[in-house]
Amino acid sequence: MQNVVQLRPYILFIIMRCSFIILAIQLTFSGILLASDVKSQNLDQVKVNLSLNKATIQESLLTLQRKSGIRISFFDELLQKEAKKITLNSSNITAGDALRKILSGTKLNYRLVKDFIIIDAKPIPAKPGRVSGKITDDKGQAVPGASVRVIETGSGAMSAVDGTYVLNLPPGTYTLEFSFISFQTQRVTGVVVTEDKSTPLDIALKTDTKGLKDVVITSGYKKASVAGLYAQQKNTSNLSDGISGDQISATPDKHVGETLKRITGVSTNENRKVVIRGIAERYNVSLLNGSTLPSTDVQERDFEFNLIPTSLVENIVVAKSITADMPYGFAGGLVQITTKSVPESNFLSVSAGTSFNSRTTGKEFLGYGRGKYDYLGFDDGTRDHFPKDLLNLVGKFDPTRSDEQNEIKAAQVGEQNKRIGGTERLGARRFDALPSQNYQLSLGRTYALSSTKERRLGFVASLSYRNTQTNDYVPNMRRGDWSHEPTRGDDPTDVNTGNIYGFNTTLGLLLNGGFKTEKHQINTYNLYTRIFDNRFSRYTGWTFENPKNDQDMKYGGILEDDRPKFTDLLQNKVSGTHQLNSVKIEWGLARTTLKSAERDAISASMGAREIGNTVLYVYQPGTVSDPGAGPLHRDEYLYRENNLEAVVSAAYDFKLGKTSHTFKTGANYLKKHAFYDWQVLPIVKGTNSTVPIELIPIQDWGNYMSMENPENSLFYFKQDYTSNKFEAKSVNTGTFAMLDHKLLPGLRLVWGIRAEYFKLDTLINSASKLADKNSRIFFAEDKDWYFLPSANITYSPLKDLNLRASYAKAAVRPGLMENSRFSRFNPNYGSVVRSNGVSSTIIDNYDAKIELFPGAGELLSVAYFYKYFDKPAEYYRLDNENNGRGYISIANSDWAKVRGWEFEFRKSLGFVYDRLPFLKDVYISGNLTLQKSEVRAREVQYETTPAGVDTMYYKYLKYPRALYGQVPLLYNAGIRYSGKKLGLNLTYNHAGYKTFITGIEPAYVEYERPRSQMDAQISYKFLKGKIETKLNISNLLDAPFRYFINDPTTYEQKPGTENGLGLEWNDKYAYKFGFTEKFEEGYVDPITNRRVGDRETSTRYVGRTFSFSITYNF
Amino acid sequence: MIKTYKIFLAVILTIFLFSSCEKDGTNIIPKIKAINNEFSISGFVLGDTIEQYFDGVKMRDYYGKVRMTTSQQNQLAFEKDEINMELKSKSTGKVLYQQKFNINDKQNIVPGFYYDGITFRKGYQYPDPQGDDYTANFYVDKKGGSAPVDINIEVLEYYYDATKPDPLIVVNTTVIPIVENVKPGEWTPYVKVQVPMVTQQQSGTELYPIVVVRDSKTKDYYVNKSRDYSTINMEIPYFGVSPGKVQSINLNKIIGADKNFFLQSYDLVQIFPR
Repeated sequence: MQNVVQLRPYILFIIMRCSFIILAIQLTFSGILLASDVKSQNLDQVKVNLSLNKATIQESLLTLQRKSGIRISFFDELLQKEAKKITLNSSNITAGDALRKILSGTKLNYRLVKDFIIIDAKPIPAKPGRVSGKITDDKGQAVPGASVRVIETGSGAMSAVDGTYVLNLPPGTYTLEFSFISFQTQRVTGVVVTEDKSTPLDIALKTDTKGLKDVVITSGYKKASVAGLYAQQKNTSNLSDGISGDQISATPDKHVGETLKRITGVSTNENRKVVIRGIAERYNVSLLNGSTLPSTDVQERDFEFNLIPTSLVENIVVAKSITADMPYGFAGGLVQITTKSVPESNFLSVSAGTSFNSRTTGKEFLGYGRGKYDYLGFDDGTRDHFPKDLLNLVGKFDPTRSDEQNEIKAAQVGEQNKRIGGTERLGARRFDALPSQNYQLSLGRTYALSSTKERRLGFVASLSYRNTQTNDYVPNMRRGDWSHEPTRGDDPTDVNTGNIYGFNTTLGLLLNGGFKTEKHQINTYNLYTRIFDNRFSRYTGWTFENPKNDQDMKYGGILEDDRPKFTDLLQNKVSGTHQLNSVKIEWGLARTTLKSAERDAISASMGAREIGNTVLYVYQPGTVSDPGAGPLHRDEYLYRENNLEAVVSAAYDFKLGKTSHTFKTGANYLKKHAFYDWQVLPIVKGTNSTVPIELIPIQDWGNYMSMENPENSLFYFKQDYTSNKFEAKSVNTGTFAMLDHKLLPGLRLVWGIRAEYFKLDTLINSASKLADKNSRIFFAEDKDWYFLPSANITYSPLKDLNLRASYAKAAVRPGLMENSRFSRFNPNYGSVVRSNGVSSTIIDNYDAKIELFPGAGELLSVAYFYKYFDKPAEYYRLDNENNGRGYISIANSDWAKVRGWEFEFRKSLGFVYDRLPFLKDVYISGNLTLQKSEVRAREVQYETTPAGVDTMYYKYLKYPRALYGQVPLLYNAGIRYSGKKLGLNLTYNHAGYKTFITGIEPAYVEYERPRSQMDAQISYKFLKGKIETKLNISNLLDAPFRYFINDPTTYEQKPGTENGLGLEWNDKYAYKFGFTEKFEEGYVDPITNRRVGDRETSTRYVGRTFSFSITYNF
Repeated sequence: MIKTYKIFLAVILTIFLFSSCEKDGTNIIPKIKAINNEFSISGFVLGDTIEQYFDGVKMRDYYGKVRMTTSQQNQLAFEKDEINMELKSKSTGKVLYQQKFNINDKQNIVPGFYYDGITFRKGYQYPDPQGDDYTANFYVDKKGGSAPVDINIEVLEYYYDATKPDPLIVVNTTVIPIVENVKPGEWTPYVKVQVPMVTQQQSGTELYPIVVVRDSKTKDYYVNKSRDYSTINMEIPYFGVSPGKVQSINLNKIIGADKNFFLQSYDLVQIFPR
């Protein structure tokens, strides 16, 4: 019956709700048969003689009508759906019996209405509903094996090892009784179970302090539910904040990167990298279902959260304090993403959505040649230009020399060019930007294997597809190699601008499953994400070396950078929990693989040449004398990281007198192995080449690579140092012992120590720049083992009040690639990003927090934190070559101190006015983070001793500055209405000044200016919630991302410091009147016609996005 | 349910098919068929700006001397076989001159033109020199202001002292007027430029004649109130040694990149030689 309902919801609707219409239709249009003589209305008194042989229902009824003379009315279509064949031979059967035999085993029923019989569908029996939830103790720990009994029916269930339970009940109102040894039995009245719906009820059982006395606490459903919600929020032993799947669904967020900034103390860097409590992504650890995630950026240690669609997420919790059983150290927070696993009820949903961006959709969309399967997220082979065993031409081939003089002959180069392939894909071209589209199919099934005991099996599967096209507009770019200021302060056209075109296809496949009993639970989590992300940046402007002038630099050049990246993330995990009397064992095994293939990434530049009738933009090939990749090259970057992880822990519960305690010990092992392989193929021409590149479209350059005339050919100039490898592996092992004491009512102490071993082996470490070929990285890791103590204390003097304090020492380890000698130009930073070597950072964390839970779903909290970093690693802009532009590198500073306050509230507006009941469903919420940091920076100095040995030492800076990634002010505010059908949500997020890249003096320190984003959502449910529609508007204010540097024009040298040697910036300089470290636009000096003011290094507009989605729940 | 799946699948496939059609896009860099290196344009523009269009796309403005400012402006890139050049009046939008260049032409030369803001002519007309006389007419551009100016020969009597920040020490200045009350925006009649006849007042000094512009009312130097900025680069006659000469001097006070004014001067006789 259930299947029938699922298959034909429209029939159900018609039959159940509009039977009178059917009747009318029956009477009017269909086979209304009127017998000429009605003999009787008492069917069991009318005897008939019937002879039916494999007759259909319709034929049988017509025969019965004819023989009995009773008028029978039916709806043709209703009968045609019945396949039953009737064989009945009886000479003395009552019409009633005949009718019942004909209709038996069908979905048909009969009714006697006045003088005729109506055949209609049987009413659908009500489906059972469910009560489900989690049973915890008053400290938030799961209580497995607890009994749940339904007073009215006597039926019951037991909680699984994770404390969850499910009861299937017919619709009605019940009283449930929860009991477990040594806990007070609790009765909850007025639990309403509705058809095919799950009623959530989490219960916090209270310890039975009165011994064996039979005490039953009785409370109403609402109150008990509230208590359960409280228990979850307030009973963790550490400080944490989070966001549930339900809260996420009320935002327009498509991926986790967009959601994280809604959690207290969390901000994101361009929606991809997470900053927690003002501490950059490097110091935050991400776990997916409890297992670490690999870094998705080769040069920076972070996880790009846009890999995980929010639709697959059950909740995200950010832990901000540490307990010894946490396997990985962090300073900012531990981001724990949990995807959906065993469902509490069966579900099947299909959703589809589309979105329009105000700056993208319907507009020009530029990019290089696409592949046939880009929309599916796969490469069609047109980007495959990197065959194996290419010849290194450096010093072995010169097109100006004869074959006799060259070690590698021209024909060999021509053959190699052919193997690499043509240039058809190169060159910017115009596409139309289509609206984004997304689809998802989710299925959840749960099976109860026993009606008396907790034996449940279930799985969740989800398949999602998303294609998004974005066009970020960059109205000014003055970073790194770009011109830093206009030549003439009053020339508004002297500005570098650009666009970043993003084409993203994401495929997600999730398959989670589990089995649970009262004492055991085994889960498996499997996630596969495939992303094709193609970022095409195109900037027009003038460089730092060649600024605008009225002669040969009247028009700016163009820099293009195409990065098609295919990423596969596969995580398989098996985990288990086993309750063996007083011992609870938890274990997990995970394997995570990340493959990232940037295929045919192209960097190209075009010079602007003003000729008589036009401005000619010509792609520039390199020359054989270029000491690097040159202006035009096509690259391949292959990154693979395999992580193997194992965790095991055992917790033993025991009592000492009236106090209860838990001893927990365990170990973890994480092995990472990374491979990076890059190949850069510069396209060059000979020194004296006369190839008319102005007249040849770049797509045809491949036709000039045969090398029949070497001097006048183009060719791929493969160089040894531009094609090389990196390989490293690390092992991170830890073991811990932890004690959890529930000492007094309301007092809990959790403390322990963790011993952690870390070893990083760099197996292959090639330089990717000629300049770095002979340099080496100094790696100052001096210890393999660290002992990391931690302690958390929670005191609840009042029922809904928590006072918390904690201390923990943590070690944050360098990423695998952070010690590589690989460097690469990043077009959006306008700079090369490279590494100077990084060592572990040790952090002392101190936290205090007060939490008050005034009502259901309501919270008021205030927290203070202090952190001391020993050797924090930060992103610096360095200018060791003294060229005024520098490069970006990661390096350790000496120390940093971060301190801050966090405030959060969430409150229902029900208290405002009782007579407006909808106000109870309106919640206002907000959080505020204030923080301050100071860093003692240091500059590495290299020196060669008289004996010729390379050494290094540090020069320490005496003036502290802010920590990289720090955001001193951060707040969120929101108002949400969740009605039965209508939902409205408005959120506002503000992040203050953020240190984007740091440096030893203001001219290198880049900040992000404050940014406020407002998002809105309207949702509406139709057909009893089966269809849900959502209209999201994100970035309502079209807020840009704006970055700046305190330009040297805003400060001046202090008198008397002209000849001071070894003076720091603060000794020598002071800001001019009207200028500070914050952003000041400044003015154009009327005398010099130069700008005096902060340099707006980059501004980026992402537009407003309007998205609409529709979900159908079967 | 099966029907719903089918619809869902059909929608996805339709979108994929529709979307995947666009694989190559349209190249944004046009293909150039040929580049001709023999293009030239010259002339002089006054009173109004000329806008230069190629195939309907504005390329540049001309005011003052029309010349190619970079070495590569002698090139024409042909995307098609023919290029249509139009010179338009900026104030009225009227086409003043039109010329078509063909891909097969060896040279693409625009004949020298003179536009005074009203009439577009082939070349600038000026009289022949009369005997040994130096004659000149002057045009002061309105952009420098509407106040009339005087143009004089000033003979500086100076000596040189290397110890001073400004080592040129002027001890006496003799003013010989060329033309007074020159109204900006109009050519003056041709006037005779006198031979400067000055004798030294002190011993140890030198004489140096210059032509300078002053404000007629205030008698201040015309540009930045500075003699050095207000000097015109024109020839003046020397007694007994100069053959006759005609000069048509165009003066324009222009603001530079450093926000300082400077005096731009052209002799149209040299721009339009006979």
